[in-house]
Amino acid sequence: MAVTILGRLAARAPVPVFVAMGRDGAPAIEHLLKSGDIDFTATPRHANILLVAGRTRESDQPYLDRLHDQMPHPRATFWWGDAHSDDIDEARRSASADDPVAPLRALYRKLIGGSYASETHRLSDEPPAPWRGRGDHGQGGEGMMGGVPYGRMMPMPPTPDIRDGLALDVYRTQVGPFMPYWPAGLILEVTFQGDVIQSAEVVQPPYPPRDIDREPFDRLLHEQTPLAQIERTRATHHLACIARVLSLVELPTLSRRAQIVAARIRANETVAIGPLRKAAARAGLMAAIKPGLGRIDDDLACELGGPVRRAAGHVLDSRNDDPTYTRLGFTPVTQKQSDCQARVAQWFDEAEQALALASAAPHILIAQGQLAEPPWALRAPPLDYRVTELLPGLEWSEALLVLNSFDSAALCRMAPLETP
Amino acid sequence: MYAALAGSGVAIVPFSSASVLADLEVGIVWWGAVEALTVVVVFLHGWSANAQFGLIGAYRYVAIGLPVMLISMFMLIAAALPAESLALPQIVESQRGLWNVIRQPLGLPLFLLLGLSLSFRGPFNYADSADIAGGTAAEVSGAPRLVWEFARLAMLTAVAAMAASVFLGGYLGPWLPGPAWLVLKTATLLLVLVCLTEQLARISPSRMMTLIWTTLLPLSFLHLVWAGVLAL
Repeated sequence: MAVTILGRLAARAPVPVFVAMGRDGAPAIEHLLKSGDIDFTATPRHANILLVAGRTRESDQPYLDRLHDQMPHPRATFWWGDAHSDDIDEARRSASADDPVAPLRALYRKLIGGSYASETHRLSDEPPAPWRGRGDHGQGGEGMMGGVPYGRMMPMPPTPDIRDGLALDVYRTQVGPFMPYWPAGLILEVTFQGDVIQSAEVVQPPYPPRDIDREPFDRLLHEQTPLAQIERTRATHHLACIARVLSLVELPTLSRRAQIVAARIRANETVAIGPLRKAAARAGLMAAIKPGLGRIDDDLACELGGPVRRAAGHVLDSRNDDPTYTRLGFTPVTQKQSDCQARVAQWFDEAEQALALASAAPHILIAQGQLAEPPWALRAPPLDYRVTELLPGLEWSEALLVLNSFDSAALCRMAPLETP
Repeated sequence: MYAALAGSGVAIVPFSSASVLADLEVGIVWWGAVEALTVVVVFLHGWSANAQFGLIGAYRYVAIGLPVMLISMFMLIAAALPAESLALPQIVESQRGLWNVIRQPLGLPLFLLLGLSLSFRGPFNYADSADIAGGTAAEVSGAPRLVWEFARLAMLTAVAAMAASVFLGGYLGPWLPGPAWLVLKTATLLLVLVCLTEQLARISPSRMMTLIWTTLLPLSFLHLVWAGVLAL
């Protein structure tokens, strides 16, 4: 009886979902936050449903399988997007245009109620670092960790570190590609000392900007597009970036608010960003980001272009030369410092300006073929400069702030696959 | 273990002049032990996961938890000086004329930092934050996670009850019975702690360490000296 009541209560709780953002056809995940019915978890251990949004790279499948197997029972995978195969049953997939909240809720209820079988392991039940036997001197004995080549691999291999030479305080691990507040698709091989990064290498590059953000800019190449839609998409993109930064400074409520505002702007609702910005300022968002953190030089900022370049003080924006924008009195906003603080301030400024433009010109169309300034860095060949050069010496929380202060297009150029 | 520490912290809080679960002569020392063991327990929770983010959460917690614990002990010793006793009932009774929050205005705000630190919330969430995928709790789910989250809330309540007794006169107050005053004051402090959790951004661990060691700790020591001079 008590168990039945607890089961019913559990089924009514927000659905604990771990999101794996895909590369192709990734839908607007922030839309799910509007209902308050979905709980995005920080780790798969806290989730019952693995939500795969869009299609992932083939090489990411082993990582997806590992995430899946870390979820506790009962568990299920739900695919959201247009790029998934049809052999997945209806209860576990949704088209990107559809609202998946109701199917997710139904699936969760069935899982908790036991009418939907929990998914089994995808990987074989073997330890990732199996025991390699006993060494000549008894090292790596049964039940022990450690010992090279005997025993199990230790989480902290005895490697001298760059700061104080302590041998046991260094470990190397892969981070990514699916983690909250982490650039989707990016896999880094990171060497830590405590929570300080000693070195980092790119194993897999991040995904480019989402299709849903690119859509109006791509469409403009072929047909007339409303200026308001272009600017709303810009505001939405910037707010999604701001939401990640807010989460990283432990302001989850404001982060959620930013994502909800983004979802409402995407749904063509009239929303102001000012109150969110004031609340973030009151909470100390800028004070929480160390001045000078993630500063890049002028050459790199110019190479990257977009908001990154304007955050470095360069008044370069293709909208400046567009008569439609000129008639609306458009002037590019800029910052000076070219660090994380400046890039976040730039997102806020540009998002506010975008909404002002959208409301000032709700019906103006931009001619097809016109080059519209996208909300991200220039999409051009990779740069010599690697984002991983910015990370050594930073604490993990600072490193995440640095990574998240760049848009995905900038990261794609700064974190290409390392060539041997 | 973490929940048990919270429970043993609450046990020394007097509900009225005649009722306290554990009437210890050295209540403040007992609370100090609770704080110290909490640091150990949270570290073990992260370390035992044998995973990188749990370990990072554990490292960060110890780095911040230890100096915050020192601040808290300075505050509690300062509050014990007017009472000339380390027992919590005596400390509450010493506030019949004037609450410690008025007598020692720095005490309560600095002690509330401990509340955020002991239950790792908001600006002091270095152990279980989202940037490290849940940190020390990243590898637990189901019942163990439920107990862990319950323990965090229990520790937050224990800190609020302790602060209400040491700085807001505990069960002292007119018209209402003593336990009702204690519950009211504890609930008010819980509200303040929850607001602080939601309203303050977190700075990086190294900047927080600098802030604690160079500003808050000297401030708390000056506070102790001030309380000592007043008590003479």
